[in-house]
Amino acid sequence: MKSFDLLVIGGGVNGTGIARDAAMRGLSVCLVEKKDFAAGASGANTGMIHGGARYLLHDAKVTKLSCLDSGYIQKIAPHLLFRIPFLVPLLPSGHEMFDKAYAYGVECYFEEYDRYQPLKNGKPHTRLSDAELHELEPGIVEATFGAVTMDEYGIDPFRLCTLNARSAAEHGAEVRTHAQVTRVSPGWLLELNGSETVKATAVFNAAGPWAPKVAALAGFDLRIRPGKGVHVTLDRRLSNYGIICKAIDGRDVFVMPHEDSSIVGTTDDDFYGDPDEVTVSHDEVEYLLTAVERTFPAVRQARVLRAWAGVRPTLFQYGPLEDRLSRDHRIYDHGEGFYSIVGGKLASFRAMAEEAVDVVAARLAKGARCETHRKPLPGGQRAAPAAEELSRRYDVPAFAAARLAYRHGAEAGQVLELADDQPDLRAVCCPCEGVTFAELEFSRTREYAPSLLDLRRRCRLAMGVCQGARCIGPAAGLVGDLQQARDLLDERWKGQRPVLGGDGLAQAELLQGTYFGTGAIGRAEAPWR
Amino acid sequence: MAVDVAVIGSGMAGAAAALSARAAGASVLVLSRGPGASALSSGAADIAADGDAPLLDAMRSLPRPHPYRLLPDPAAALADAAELLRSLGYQGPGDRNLWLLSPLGCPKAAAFAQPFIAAGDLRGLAPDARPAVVALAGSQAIEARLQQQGLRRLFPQAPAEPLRADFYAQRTDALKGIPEMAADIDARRGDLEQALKRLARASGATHLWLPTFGLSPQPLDAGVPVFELPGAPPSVPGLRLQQRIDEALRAAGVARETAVVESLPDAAAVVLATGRFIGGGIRSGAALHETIFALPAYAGERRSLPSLPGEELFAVKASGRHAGLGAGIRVGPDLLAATIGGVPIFAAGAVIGGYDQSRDEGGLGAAALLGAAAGRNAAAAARTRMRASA
Repeated sequence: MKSFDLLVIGGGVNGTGIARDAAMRGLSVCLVEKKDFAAGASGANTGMIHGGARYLLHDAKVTKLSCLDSGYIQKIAPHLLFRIPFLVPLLPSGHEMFDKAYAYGVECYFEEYDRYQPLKNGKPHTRLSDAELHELEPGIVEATFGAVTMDEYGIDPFRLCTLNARSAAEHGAEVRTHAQVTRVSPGWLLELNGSETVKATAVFNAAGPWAPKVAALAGFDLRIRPGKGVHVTLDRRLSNYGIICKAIDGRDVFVMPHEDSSIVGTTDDDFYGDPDEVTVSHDEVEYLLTAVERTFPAVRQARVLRAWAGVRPTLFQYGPLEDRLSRDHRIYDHGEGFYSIVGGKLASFRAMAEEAVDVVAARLAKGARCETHRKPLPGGQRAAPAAEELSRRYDVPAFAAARLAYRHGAEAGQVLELADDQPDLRAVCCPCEGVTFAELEFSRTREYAPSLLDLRRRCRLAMGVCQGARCIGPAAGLVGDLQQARDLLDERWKGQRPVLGGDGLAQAELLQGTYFGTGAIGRAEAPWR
Repeated sequence: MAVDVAVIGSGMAGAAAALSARAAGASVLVLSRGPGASALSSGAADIAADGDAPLLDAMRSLPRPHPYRLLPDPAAALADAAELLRSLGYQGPGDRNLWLLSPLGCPKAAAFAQPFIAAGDLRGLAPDARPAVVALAGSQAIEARLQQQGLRRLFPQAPAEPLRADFYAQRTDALKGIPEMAADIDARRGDLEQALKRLARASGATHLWLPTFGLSPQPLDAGVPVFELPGAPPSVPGLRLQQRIDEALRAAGVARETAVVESLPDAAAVVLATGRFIGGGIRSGAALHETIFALPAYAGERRSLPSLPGEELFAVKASGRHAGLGAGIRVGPDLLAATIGGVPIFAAGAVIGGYDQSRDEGGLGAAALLGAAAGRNAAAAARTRMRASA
């Protein structure tokens, strides 16, 4: 039986972050994830390493930690972060005095936030006039009394988790995806997928919204207040800047550019169901679009590609409205070396992991100092090669080279070297997201991504404007398994279904015609025999 | 009135309507704004499929509100469609389906197909045949693995992997899509034949499938039979069809006009052949509606409702049955959709609701069949109106 110092449950940003930190400190580590990296809340968020300006008033500790850690994350994964300046348009209330006071209040607020900006290399806020605002974003509703700006960063959260896990493995950790803990026995014997058993001195439960279930397997009671968050993806970068809008109930809703699309989000509602079965309704989509429309009417001109949802593992509190819940994190010591971590933000994952591993290291009286803030993640060692250079050297289209350089940083050349022996791999599989077969093959063989569903998260396969109409068949050719194409079609469809309407219907008709009409997918028998 | 029959749309439904109205003696004007779904079609023409049942039985097995159920004489309509499709270069036995190898390697039923696609009727191959798909380069070569897997499920002696043809040599050839390969094949047909001959000899394959025969397809001599695969969008067969339609309309003396039609054309009768969502004939905005005359559209049994949310029209699984994909207008027994200002508006093809083109309920073949019937009815209605006004 394999035995480890620490077994980490959950392949989200907390689990992969803890596994990396512990492995770098010299602990023997096993990371197990029932599905895939970032398959839960870590992949269903806004994709931002933000400073948490929103928490300044009630949770300044969260803001400070997020800003501090954002600065570190920029250092260790420079290729993966992209700057998103935000606009906070100020809409008139009809009462001039109130508006003036409001603008003053907003500026004071962001002036306070400016104190944290240097931690994450952010620029201080600026005050824009109405004319300046419309020059930057002509699509914003007329007659504002200007805006305030703030600086934030976006990230590909799927890759962030993957790179943490890969780094953990490079430091000796055993990394297992599609490995679900099915039984926990004292002495910390953990049964995986109902068969094999591994042993660990300490266990860290970082299963996010599934953390209560995992704790229950070990006989511990853990309460969270799960909150469902819905986002929608638009078919283009609708704005140059992130824009902060007010929903009908006064909540902040953002529209922000992300990769080749824009994301609108998010909702925050108590969730009582199974986190494996979270779905989105038409009403939730309308809530978001209506919220943005009031400030940025152009949102209605975009085609909504899909809607998606995740469940936040928020700290348990009885009483406050969802939006007022603390975003702080907490580490629970259940005793006997079994710990859980819940709450927190994507932006502060590294600091949370450090805190978690400090606790384990103290118990085991083992482990060197934390290095995760200094050592780069894979691909972050050097500056990413220039897209033109990659394109010329490896004969791949420049647009695919550019996307590859973003996703893989310094490793981009290594990915394309796979095409030296197999020339077909330089072809582009997913034209929307610029994914070459070489990139798929790299992730398939070196990034724990055996299935197309996993490759979707690694490489943004089928995440673009056609939602897989072009790439799912060719990608199934690479993995040599048509069933995987069906699985990915179902997964993509789940997100399209609540938003199908308008121009999206033409895309759905094309996709359905390609796979179920022309492709006749699923018919394997020979009816004529 | 400028013409007897104005047809809106120049895909398969519009072409079939125009040609059959012309054959019935009407003067015809085709108005279209550009290519629609037919230009993306695979090269196969589906009418109906129900296992391996005869075509007419498969048509009759489709439930209401499939527009086939409105046809007074389905057998005659099928015969008309067969004649029309053959005139556009499609081939098929006419009474039963062909079984084609799909781009995903699954057997696909289609009543008719472009000649080199139809030749690859899987039924014609002995169970001990050793058929193989030819890998040329890049994405096509990778997709060919699925096609070869499919062949091997049907023919256990088929090679495990697709066969690599010695046709492309540059490493940038891997970036070529099938349309670019079609152009290369047109230009280097001799090289391709030599490569296929070598391949057939070396592998012992009994039949070969190519991703495309080129934009101007010719028979290929490889020593063994060579077939063409149906194309996924953007498809070469779809481009060829559009070209063939243009030629057929010209030869039949049909007038053409490129226009975005926004009001009633000046004609004694009109055929609406604007397609469904890809073609732009049906749209879901505030309500599900037809786009030129604002006729109400239906999805399954649902009336057009304001802001009909997608989740009510589409099944949970991608492979489920989706009422939304069968959305369209309703028509009477003679395919009459409405009468506006005294002008009868007939409908043809996917603008008519009640069938899902991606589910064995008729795609391009249904467009041809319904188009032929609508064109004939429109010509008759125009004649009646002219006689009345005279």
